[in-house]
Amino acid sequence: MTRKLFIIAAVLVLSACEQVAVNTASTPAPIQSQEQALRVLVPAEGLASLYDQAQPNGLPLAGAVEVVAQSGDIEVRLGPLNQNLVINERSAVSVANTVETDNIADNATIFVPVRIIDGIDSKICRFELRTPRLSVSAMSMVTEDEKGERFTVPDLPVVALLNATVSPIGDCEVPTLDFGAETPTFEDSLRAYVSRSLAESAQTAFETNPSEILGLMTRRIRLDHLSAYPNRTSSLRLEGSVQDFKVDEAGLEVQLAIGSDIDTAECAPPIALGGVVAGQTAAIEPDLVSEFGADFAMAVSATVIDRLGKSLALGGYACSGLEDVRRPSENEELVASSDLLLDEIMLSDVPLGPWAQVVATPGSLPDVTTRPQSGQLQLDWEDLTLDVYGTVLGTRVKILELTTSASANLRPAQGPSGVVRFDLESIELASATLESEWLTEQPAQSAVDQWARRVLLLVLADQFVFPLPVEPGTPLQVTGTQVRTDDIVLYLRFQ
Amino acid sequence: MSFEQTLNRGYCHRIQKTRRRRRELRAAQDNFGQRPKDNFGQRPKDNFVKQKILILAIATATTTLSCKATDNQSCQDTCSVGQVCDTSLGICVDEPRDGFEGDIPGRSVQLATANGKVFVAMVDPVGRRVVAGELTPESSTLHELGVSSSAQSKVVIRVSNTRVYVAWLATNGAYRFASREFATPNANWAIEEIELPDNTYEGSEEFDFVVGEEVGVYVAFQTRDRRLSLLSRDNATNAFRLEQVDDGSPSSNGIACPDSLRSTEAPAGIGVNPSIALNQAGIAIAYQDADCGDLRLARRAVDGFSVDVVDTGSLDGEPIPGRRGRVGKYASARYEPDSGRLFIAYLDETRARVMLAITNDSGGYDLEVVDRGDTLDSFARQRKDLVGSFITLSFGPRDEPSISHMNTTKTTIRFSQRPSGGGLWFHQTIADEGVVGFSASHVYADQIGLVSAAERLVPAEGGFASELEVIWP
Repeated sequence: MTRKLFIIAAVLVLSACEQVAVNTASTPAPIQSQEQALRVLVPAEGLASLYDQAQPNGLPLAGAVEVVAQSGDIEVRLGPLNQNLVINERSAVSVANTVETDNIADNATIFVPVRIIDGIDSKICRFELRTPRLSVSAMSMVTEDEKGERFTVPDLPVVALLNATVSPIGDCEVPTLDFGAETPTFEDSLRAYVSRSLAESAQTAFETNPSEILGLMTRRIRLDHLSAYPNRTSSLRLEGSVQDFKVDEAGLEVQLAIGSDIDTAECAPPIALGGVVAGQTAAIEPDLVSEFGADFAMAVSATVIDRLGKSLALGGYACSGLEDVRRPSENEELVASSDLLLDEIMLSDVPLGPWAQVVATPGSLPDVTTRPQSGQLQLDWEDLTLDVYGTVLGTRVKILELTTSASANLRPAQGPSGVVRFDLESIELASATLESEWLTEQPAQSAVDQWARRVLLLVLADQFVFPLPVEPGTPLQVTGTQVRTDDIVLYLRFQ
Repeated sequence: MSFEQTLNRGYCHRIQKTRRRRRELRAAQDNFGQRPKDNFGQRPKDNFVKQKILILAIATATTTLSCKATDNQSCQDTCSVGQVCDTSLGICVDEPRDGFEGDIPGRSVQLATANGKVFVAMVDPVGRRVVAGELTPESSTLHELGVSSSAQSKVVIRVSNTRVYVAWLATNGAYRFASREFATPNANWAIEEIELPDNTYEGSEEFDFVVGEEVGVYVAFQTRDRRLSLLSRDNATNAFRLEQVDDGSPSSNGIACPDSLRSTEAPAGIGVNPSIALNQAGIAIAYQDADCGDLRLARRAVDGFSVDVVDTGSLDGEPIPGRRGRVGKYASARYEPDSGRLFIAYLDETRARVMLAITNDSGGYDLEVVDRGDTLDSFARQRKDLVGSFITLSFGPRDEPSISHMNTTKTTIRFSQRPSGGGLWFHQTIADEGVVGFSASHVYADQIGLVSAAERLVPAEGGFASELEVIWP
């Protein structure tokens, strides 16, 4: 896959609607990694959900055609099997480097084609195997090879068909032949065929790559920031690699290092990103995963969030606005002019049309820190510039330019599928300055501060929605969050 | 009347007039609620914050025909638009025009030049008066020609070999144009309404107007059903006729507007900001297809018009996947004098830049970026200014393409020029103080040079008032 939409791990993009093209990065230049950037815990009871994700339509049951009896010109063949077996109940237990799973299918019916050949004549009919309870027990082992860390199933899983009955569908008479000592009857032979096929199918199906199922980034990718304005375009290279992959009684834990490298966009301030600081994530409490109704949890290091936030600001992701020139009914950037309350800053006389647009441009790089006591992230940003445009005499005209330093408190919250939302709970400003060619009288500083706080809340309130640090398309929902000293934990459930 | 003249930075000459009497009159009018408001619901200002940006009228009370009839005679026929009955002669004559008095407005201003003279037309948003006349660095001679359909109406000014023409949309939905000889001082303005035998058109503010040889008159306009049509007559004796130019059908060069974009609940249609270019080769009309955001060009063909899509806004490939670019607004089309190539300057809204399309020998178009609007700010960030509103294209004395437009981020007038035949564009900001640049326009006048004009909005009581900004060389 040449285009694979991967993550941005806990990215601080001012708009979730940014246009990004994701490509496999081909540059051999080394990228400095931040170790312990991500820690993922799939608790033992959640491991079963990995298989649910790997087999969303059930256990794929496949079986090749087998000759089960032959006498002279008469031959009885079974198969092929090709159906999905719905698993009603799945449980998993983990010990050192091993995951044992029990998979139950209640009231299962398996359809088996039967071909009876007599000389040049051939008859095809179908039988069904019905069982009130079918179980498949498999033991997966952690294996590391050229494909990375993954689960393999060295031994054939154990299949049990409780009280399985075999009956023809329609009129189908099977000749009495010698079906062997172990399966003396046709029915026994068919049960054995189904059992064998189930075990082989399960062995294949339970060989999985958990990192892939979880959507973890394990290779180098390039995010191209697309914009109609060339000064906002950039290229961000990200590289993820598995540092640690272990299975024990607590479940599966994966730790990843993440490196990033950015080509600065021209709209960003020309500030050096600085050296790499190692990440740090603490162990995740397995009990909290079930407490939040999640399948697994992901801790993202605060230093990684901070660095990615800076990288994205340098990449022009924080330069936003004025790119949508569609009509008001389609335009995603418009705010109602009346909501701006321009009268508070002596600009009520500007003959504005009904819609306004706000342009954001960072004058510095943001600092992101955690506030575990209040469960918030703090975002400090100096010299943030907001330009307000409105329609005057049929054309978009800049009405004012606000430059301020802002300190915002963000609380991570549950969100729709695929994203994590941060609620903007409070914002403090410093050194707000207002410039406008339309001003006839300079408003009081207190009025500017109050207006600036309000407009920032208005403009930024719904902007802190970020893609989950997993492969887009992975059907995940945030069920809970936890801000800790060194990281933020996202509790995630497969949908 | 007394006048005083101020100089601004050596090249911007403005004229100021004492207005005490007018203020007193306006104060009295305001007290009785008589003075009209402009389109922003404001009364015209009396006090200016920035004295040096004042542009003040010379109110030239002009020609009023003296009427010394001894025996009153009535005219046999009803006089047409713009004429009154001269009862001394019993014939219809051009109605004398009132001289325009007051602060000169700048709404929808356009310039034209001939014989070293500079002519101007604009709308006074207070009272929606169409005003036109002649400007010099020292004075102006302006007349009220009629009433426009709105306070933001468009006016077009053109010149022929002998006359200056001003066109606008009248309140009855018909186009009117006024003309007068420019060689004759105090010549009367003759006004004519464009009528069809069956009276079957209704004009819109999206129009352009040109005059050709033998007083041929052409008005390209967007009809009420959002298509582009042309009103024309080949000479003064012929009647006007109406023909459809573009109904949005697929273009001759094979580029179509998808139905998904055309079939919206509120289609903006074809024919926005039409601009007519006329030469011996015929008539060409550049305009925006506002549904698709394309620049289109219609040229006279054997049977009607041939329409090309000149630019879809996707010059560099789609910047945003799945989103079509938006170009073609503020189109300004002119034929290059020597080569006869058609030049079209227009706004690329998607990238907020000024573009130029030039017809080439292979029947296609060469596109070049005129002004990207890039600028470096105090944080060393490369900022993007919105440039390219109110574009006017002309050719300088050495056929150098010259484009004036508005930088709406900084509210300034921008002027871009490059050598004829190609080369780098040179950019200049020619007015940068206050809120100025709306309807930016320019001409090259013989013996004078580059003259630019635009509308300036200045603080006034209860809002902003429109003023004319003229920049002389």
